[in-house]
Amino acid sequence: MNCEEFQTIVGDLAREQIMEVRVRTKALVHSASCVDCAQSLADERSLSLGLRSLADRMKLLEAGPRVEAHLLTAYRNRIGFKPALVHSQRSLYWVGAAAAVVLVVFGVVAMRGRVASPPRQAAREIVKPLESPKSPAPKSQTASFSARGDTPPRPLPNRKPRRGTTSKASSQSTAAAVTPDLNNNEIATDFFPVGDASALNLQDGGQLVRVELPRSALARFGLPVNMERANQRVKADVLFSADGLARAIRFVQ
Amino acid sequence: MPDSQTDDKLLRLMLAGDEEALATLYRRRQGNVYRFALQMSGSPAQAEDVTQEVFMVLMRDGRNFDPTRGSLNSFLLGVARNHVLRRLERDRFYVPIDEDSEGDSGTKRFSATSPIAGDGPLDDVSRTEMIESVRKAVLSLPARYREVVVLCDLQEISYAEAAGVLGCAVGTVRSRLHRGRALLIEKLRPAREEDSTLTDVKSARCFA
Repeated sequence: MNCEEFQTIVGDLAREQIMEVRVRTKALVHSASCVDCAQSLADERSLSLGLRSLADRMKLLEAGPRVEAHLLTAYRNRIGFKPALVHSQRSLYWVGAAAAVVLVVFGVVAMRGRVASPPRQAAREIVKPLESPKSPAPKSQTASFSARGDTPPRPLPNRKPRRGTTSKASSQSTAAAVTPDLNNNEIATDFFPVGDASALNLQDGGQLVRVELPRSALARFGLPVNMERANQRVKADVLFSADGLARAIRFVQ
Repeated sequence: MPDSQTDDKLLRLMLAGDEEALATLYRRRQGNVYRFALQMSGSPAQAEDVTQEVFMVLMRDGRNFDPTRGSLNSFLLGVARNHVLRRLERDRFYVPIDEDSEGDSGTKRFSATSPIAGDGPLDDVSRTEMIESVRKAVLSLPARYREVVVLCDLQEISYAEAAGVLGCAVGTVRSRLHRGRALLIEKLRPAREEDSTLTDVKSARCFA
């Protein structure tokens, strides 16, 4: 160890700080061989002794009792009403907790009612045109669930039109043909008008035919096309009117 | 209020309105704060004022104390340090007329005339003089070195805790302590040399 290294640890050595035994031994050996460093260590030890004596001397010194009295008075003045406040805060806490529980229960009930009601409404919307063929065009039917983006409505029973039935029965069968014949896994777009055809009147009769088209046909109706899958085919339902003209089309996935 | 309660618990109780918790916390920690302020300022009256202010701050802003950043003792010493430095800065233009006339604090006054334990009357006197000279030397240090010497050598707290109080790195504490002690040795050296000179003169007279 040289003098420079010794000077960096002489303070810790004199203050009897924890250090490695090896370093301590080297420092003591160096101080034994170097007069200046030995003097420095002696000075540091003397200073440590003086400081320790001063610290011992002041160990029992404390602030006077009037400081404590003044502080306690200030504390009482500052939060003298605190215990009452604490009590009222505690009762407020319980009232708040009870209110929160009531709100949560009310919220859960309301949410359940809200979640349960839309399917019923959707079913009603789908069922309506079946019961009354004078209802609006099928566009509104599909829009009702495709706009929400949730699962498609429950598929309706597939009734085959019987021959020789009444006009009501025939209109019912027409409506059944128009009714989306979708499986549970199928999602359909809205009906897009084909050509310049006017809005379809279901009373005129019509037929829904499932076809397959190139995926690029989607672009004609303003729908996005994944170019990587442009070669593939896509299912579509074409709505033909009674006069045999294609009036509308929707795409099914 | 049991003394076994931690500082943090006592502080929470105090902030919730428990006066006894404040009293317990004060009695536990006021000594360190008072001695630090006294060793920094040299004035018992100022040390008491600072102690009072520190605990007033604790009452007012105790919620700001974050136990993850250090102990409550460090927090209190840090507040005390700020108050002491502010007072030292404010009072640096004033020269004390007489230290003994700073009003009675109602506490034991630190002075050179108070006896300490020793083997005999002469030892008491010499040791008291030595302690008084050390005290004066510490008070004459620049504040940045004084606070480190007070914290590490007189309060005997670790480098890390001192760094927390001062808001600086441990290395800074070590270097300031090294420098502060070197300054103290320089300040105390003339007294020793003067003493040795006087001894030489006395010896010469004896030989003459």
